[in-house]
Amino acid sequence: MKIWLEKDDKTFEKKFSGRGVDLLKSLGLYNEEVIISRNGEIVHDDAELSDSDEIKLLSVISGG
Amino acid sequence: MKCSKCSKVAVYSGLCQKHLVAHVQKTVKQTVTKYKLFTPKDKLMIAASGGKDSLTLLDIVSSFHPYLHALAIDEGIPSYREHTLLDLRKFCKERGIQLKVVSFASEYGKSLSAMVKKTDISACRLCGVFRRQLLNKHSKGYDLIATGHNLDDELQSLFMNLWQSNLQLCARLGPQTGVVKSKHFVSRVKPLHFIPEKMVRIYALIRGFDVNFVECPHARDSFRHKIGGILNRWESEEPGVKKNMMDSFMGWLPGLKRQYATGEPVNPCRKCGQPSAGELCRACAFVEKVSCS
Repeated sequence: MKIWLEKDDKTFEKKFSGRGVDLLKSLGLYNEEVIISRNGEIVHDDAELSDSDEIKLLSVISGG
Repeated sequence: MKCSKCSKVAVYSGLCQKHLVAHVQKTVKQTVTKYKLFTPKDKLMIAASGGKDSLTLLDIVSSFHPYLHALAIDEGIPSYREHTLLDLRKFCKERGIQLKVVSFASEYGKSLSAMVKKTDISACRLCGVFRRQLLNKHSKGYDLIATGHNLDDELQSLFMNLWQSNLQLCARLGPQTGVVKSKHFVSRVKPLHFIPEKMVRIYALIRGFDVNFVECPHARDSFRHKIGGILNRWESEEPGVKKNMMDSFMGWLPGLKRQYATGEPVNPCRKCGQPSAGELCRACAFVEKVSCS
């Protein structure tokens, strides 16, 4: 899947199918700090993601 | 996971997009009413930065409160504040909200970036003290200042104070800031006090606010950032722990406020006339250290 990480403005590919929360764990991210957008739609951390999805990991924390 | 209120898919905290928006708006109104934060007659100054919290606050409070203006402080942090101020100006213009912007450079003669080169006081400490002073100074004539502090901000402040064993500062927390009223202070209220930060960002996304992700370059070095990381790890591992800690704290807070109600005397600073515990307020002491005067 194609993943864009907002906090670092970084795009990368990763082979993954499964729950969003498990994707975040595999990337070393806390689900409290990230919002998952799947193909342009905000989804729950428990949503099932497939390898063909385009994922954006939006940052909860911004500002100072 | 389905929404607890309808058959749609939940996006966060058991709520679909529509019901999350309704929940945030209702919680803010309930907080205002339950903690008597303000009445329809009060003149409100909204402390705004252009980030998700202040835009959410402006969006909700302006929908039911007749008299409010916005005040933004430009600290002068390159590649950061100019972006959020752009978002804020656009947001206020679209909604017809009067916005005033004041800067460290015009008020103190130097931007924050220039100040930090002159002293070993941390950027976050300088910024906090100067921002507080300017908010108070430019809100004279208003009944209250409303800030966009959310549940995460409040828990971070609580744990920072506990970490340093400072119960007196813990007593100043809560939806209504402070322990004593003073004619020198414009009282502060926090209508987003019970809304988690993640919920605020989702609200801002659903409502379509034009908020770009920008982070203060000093934020990651701060004590607050460290505490925030610890709390987020706990919540990610044990969902609900932040709410439980806030519920517990709200139970202790009235007693803490009573205990520290006498506090330190507040007098006008001999230099600027702003409220101060000593002869010289902290902002004026810092101004001397960064040689701005």
